[in-house]
Amino acid sequence: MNWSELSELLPVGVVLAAALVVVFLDLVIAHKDRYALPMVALAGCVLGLGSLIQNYLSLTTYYKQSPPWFSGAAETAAGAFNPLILGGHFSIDLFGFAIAGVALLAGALSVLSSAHEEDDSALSSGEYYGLILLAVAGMMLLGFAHDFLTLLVSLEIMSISTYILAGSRRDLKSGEAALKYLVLGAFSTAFLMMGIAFIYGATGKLSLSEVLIPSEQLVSSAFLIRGGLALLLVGVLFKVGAAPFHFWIPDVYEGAPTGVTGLMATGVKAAAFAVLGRLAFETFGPRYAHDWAWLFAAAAVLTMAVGNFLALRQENVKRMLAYSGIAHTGYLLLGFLVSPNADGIMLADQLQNAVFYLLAYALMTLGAFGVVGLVREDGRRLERLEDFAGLSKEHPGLALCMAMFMFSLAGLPPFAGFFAKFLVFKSAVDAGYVLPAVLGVLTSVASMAYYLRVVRAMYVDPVRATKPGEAPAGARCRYSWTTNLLIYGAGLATILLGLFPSGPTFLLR
Amino acid sequence: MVRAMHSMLATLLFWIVVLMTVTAATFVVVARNILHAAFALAVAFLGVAGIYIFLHADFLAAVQLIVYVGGIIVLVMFAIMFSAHTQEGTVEPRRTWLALGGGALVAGVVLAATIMLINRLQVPLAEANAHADAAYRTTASAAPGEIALGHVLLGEYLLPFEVASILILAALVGAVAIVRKETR
Amino acid sequence: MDAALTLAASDLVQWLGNLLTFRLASCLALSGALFAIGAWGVLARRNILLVLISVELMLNAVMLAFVAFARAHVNLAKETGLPYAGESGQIFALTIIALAAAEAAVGLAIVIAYFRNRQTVDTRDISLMRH
Repeated sequence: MNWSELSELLPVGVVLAAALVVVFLDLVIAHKDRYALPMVALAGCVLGLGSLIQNYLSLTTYYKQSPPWFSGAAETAAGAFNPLILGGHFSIDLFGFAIAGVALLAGALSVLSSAHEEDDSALSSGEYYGLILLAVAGMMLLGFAHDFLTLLVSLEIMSISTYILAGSRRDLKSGEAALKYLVLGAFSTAFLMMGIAFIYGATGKLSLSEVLIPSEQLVSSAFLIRGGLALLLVGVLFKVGAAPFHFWIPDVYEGAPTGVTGLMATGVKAAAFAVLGRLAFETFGPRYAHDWAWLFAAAAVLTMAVGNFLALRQENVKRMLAYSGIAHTGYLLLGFLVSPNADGIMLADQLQNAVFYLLAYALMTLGAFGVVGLVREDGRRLERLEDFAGLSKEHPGLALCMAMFMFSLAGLPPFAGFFAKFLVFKSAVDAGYVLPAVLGVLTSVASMAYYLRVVRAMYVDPVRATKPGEAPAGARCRYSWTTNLLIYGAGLATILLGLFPSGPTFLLR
Repeated sequence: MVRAMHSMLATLLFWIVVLMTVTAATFVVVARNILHAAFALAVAFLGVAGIYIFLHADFLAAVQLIVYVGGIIVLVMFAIMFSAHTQEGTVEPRRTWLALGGGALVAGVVLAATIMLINRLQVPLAEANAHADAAYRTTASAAPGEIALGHVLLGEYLLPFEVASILILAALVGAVAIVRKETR
Repeated sequence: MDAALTLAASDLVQWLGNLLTFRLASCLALSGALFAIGAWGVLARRNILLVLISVELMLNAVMLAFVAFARAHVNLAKETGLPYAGESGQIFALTIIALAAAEAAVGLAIVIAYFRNRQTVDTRDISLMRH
């Protein structure tokens, strides 16, 4: 093992260091200086992102080409780029960089949306921000992990941090969200582990790209591999929240503090999709596409249908966004359908489209959750649809951004969500899965109904009659420059990404 | 002759441990009194440690004893004592037979699937097993010893092992977060 | 359907026959049984502590499977002269022990915090958010 390769994991180290600093800083600073804690956490994420980009640029200049999208696509010619480092436990490829980038972005934005919490709240403590950073570190490791052991440990780092974060508000709903997330998360992890055990038993290998290479001594155990992969898929579909394993999402997303919900809906989902992507593109690959892609397609169609249909009935905006998140998991799954005769270039294109979707989805979802977190009255959170009535008159800027996020989530041009959906539908059609893509377009059109309800509530519905003694309607939103920064930043990015969808790929050259 | 007796005794002992483990695990799931269930859990963990010894994984057996029987059981007992002020708190409230039946159905499906999987596996495992018994009868030193395990753990798998320490860190910070939430 | 039943029945007979002969297969069967019992407990129990305990049983089953497979790979390596794959299984099992301990500690802490708020550990009471 070449230890100098550890420098490739420097971004993770930066985030971990920031987590330790923020936990210890909480012990030594005065109570009135606690606003510094989120700033330190934010600095950790930004420095991590900087270090990630620096790593990427130095790799590109050293090898005079950008890293491959995944390690299976790497040329094995002499002097070419070999993304497998540190004894094959990690793979420094573009997919890993992209997932780590999305994780850092989600972490930074959820720190911004939590920074306005009250002083005495558990949400303002150093442990809260430390756990956000630890969860982000787990997600980044998960993006780079290339054997089952590293993958499992990273997954658990992320999950355990998120269990506690989900319960960090001091009310019953939050505790209940943590309990549900914990029990169902641990249950699904057990299935995932059993799947890994079967695969190990059949092959004796733990590396993600090696396990399906038939080993000569155990040729008769293909059945065991299939059983193992089935269990593994159950666990992973559970983690990404795909139907029929989606039922935990609405309660957990509704009960958790809004900043944490944003992190779970974007960062955790991106990291879980990193596992799915590695399995679909590297482990199964085109060779096993006949066995598995139809299963992904069925799960995708079911997830889109269930998520969109149930979102129609929700009156609580946070819960509606949770169901919308399930629906978006379905669209994302479409991007992971591998054609049996795909080549490396096509797979890389598909992966790029899926990553674009993850990025666009992260921006618009975190922005929407930021607005939901701000709408409150006398410190009480207001999440119901009717509470958004008249927001356009009181806070035109916030309402405009929220409307943009809703249009983008619905997939209307010229926002980022339109191109994201267009790209995954295109990859599904290119891979030969026309029917799931058509169903995706149809459900996407139907989804406009519930996204537009929010816009109608903000712009058309009359403000509720103010009862005597109630706070004036104008005081409905707390002012918080950090959350405003998050919302306007995400809004701007949603438009820019929609107008210049090839913007991020500019970095790849 | 003596060797055959020895092997037979070992097999007998093995099946006693298996039976004990399965019985204890079943009791964990059906017992009405939660404290009894926790004690049964300790027996099940002990049984699994015994199986590890049969599989020549001595180090793992020791770790299983220390961490599970020594640590996790105490933690579980503590949680039970804490969450049960009254006597009826330790007895589970009305259990529906529907849930029990549904759970049993799922368990049956899982078990049947495992059996089918194992049968498909017979060929390689049978070969492997012939050697396992050979190794078992000759010398115990043929098994991967703690030294080999240590070399691999601190060599090839050092990095994942170190990553696991981040997990412990997360659990530690999380425990502090939960406690602080209570006191403040 | 009939053929499937016959297949299942012959599987069962074959399994019972092999059970008494092969130690490694029986370890896997024990692992499967523990996993199934644990899954049963998660679905059937009402007390959240017992649900967590059942998850621990499932994790133990996974560890047992890893150790049994590790043993099988050691023996195969001896027979075929291929490189060992036995240690990685045991190391995976060791890591799972660490994961399970961390998960149990955090899980029980969350349960106790919840109990202090709600005074209940019954899963049927954990449903504030049904709509």
